[in-house]
Amino acid sequence: MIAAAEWKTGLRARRLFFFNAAVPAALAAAVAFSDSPRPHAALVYTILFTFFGVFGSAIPLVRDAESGLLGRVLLTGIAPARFVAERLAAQVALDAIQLAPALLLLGLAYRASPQELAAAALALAAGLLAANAIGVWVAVVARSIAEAALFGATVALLALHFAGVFRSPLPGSFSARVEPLLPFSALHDAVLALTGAATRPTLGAAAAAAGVIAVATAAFAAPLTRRLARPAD
Amino acid sequence: MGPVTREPAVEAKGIAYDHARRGRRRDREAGPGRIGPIDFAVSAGMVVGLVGPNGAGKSTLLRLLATLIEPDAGELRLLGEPVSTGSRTRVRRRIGWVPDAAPHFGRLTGRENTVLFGRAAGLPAADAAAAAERLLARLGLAADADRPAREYSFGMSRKLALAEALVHAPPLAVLDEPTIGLDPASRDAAITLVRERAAAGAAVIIATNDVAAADAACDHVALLHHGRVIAAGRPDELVAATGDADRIDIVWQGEVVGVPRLPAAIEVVISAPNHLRVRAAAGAAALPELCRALLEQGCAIRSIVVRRPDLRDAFEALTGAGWEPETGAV
Repeated sequence: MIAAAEWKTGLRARRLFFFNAAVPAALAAAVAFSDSPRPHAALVYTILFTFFGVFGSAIPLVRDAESGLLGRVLLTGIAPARFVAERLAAQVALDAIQLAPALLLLGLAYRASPQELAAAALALAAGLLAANAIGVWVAVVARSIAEAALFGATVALLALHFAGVFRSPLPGSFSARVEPLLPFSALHDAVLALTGAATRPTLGAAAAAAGVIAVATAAFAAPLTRRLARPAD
Repeated sequence: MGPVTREPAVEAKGIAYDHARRGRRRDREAGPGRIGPIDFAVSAGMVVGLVGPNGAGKSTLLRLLATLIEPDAGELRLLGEPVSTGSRTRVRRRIGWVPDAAPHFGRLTGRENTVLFGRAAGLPAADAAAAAERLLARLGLAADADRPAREYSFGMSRKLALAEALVHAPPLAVLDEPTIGLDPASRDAAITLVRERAAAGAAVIIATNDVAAADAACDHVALLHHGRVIAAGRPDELVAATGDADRIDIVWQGEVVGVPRLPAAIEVVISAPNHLRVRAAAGAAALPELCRALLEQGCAIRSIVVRRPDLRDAFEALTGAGWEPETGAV
């Protein structure tokens, strides 16, 4: 029932829903139809999608924790893992719908094949799952919406760095072996493929990595939500 | 805490909580830095009030009993179980909680919010819907049940919080100021609901500084002052201990320094600048003499309220500290 509540809340905030769809699409269009080199453009899209997921998860959680709504819901005795899992599922679905216009626009702008577009959609879904799960951890640490934004941006950028988004690893190095297994690496590869670069995203590894993060978040849901629901310490 | 006639629904021994410990920030109530140690027991079928002025520690104590925060010391058993990490989720499903500020899912309707809280507590969907319908009607929210909760007034929001807390018929209800912001009819409906829950076997704990609501709703009352229980018993017993004389609250303007001279038959209970609370055995019959004495001293009377003694007077008699003086039309 938490998923249904989040879903309805997201859809009924029509103005916010519109801007959450329109702004990424506008940014994507501005970059896609500029003279930006494609690897640089792919970097912008990857950061956009990752930030969307992390911020979209962390900031509402902090807001609901500050207002006391989170505490009220958790005091009903709902299993924390269920609460986190349902909330993640709804948020990922909403994010995916809101980013679909941007992704479609990129597909059109770069004349991507249906296979490339489908791969990008799957990689985006996995990336959003990982980003939303990371957002839960960010919300636990943040004590305000401003902190959630700051920590979210920092953690997202670090995660992107370790996924090799900002650099190319030396062939045969440890990074080259590990990076494909990290979330956002496959998202970056899929976006590169969408823009015409000759890469093939490892969707299986991306889904597995995202799944591991999401499962870990649900597994630690009890202490995470206890921390979120407490009055200010 | 009053006669425990059945298995206690709440048993607290020596529980204490210190806001200042480990750098905790004070919460919004700005209550005392520390509450307790407090011993507390509530039987099933009883309504117990925690009564005290703002900052006495009522909300903090309720949060401990609702398991929102953990005590720094002491033992707490709820519904026969010690409260621990392993039992917390199980116990919470059997508690109905109304906090002092009760946010809702703003874009969901009142009905959707109530059903959600019922289902989160483990009710099947159909049962939650039926219970929500019943409660919202009892609280006068039927006509607004399909409006988003963010459009509700403060009083409507408080009624919705009460519905959300009681929808799953919890055996323990912990309610922080459940009647605040309610019109008289809604307040009566809320008190009736609370009494019905108790009659059905639930234990209900209410924190309030609405002494009239406490008097109407509670079987037993604990008076709180600076985080400690200073007295406990039936409301009528606590009030009777302060004597039977009417109380008169007077607000005046003038240049009298200190307490004005008053007739011998009138006893000062609490004094503050330009405010007095006095005890008069003759009640309203003492007013002409009292007013004459004040006017002769240059006091311009702004308001006088005559009332029967209540829990505020019990509190003042025990602590020597004043509750806010009553003001009203002359």
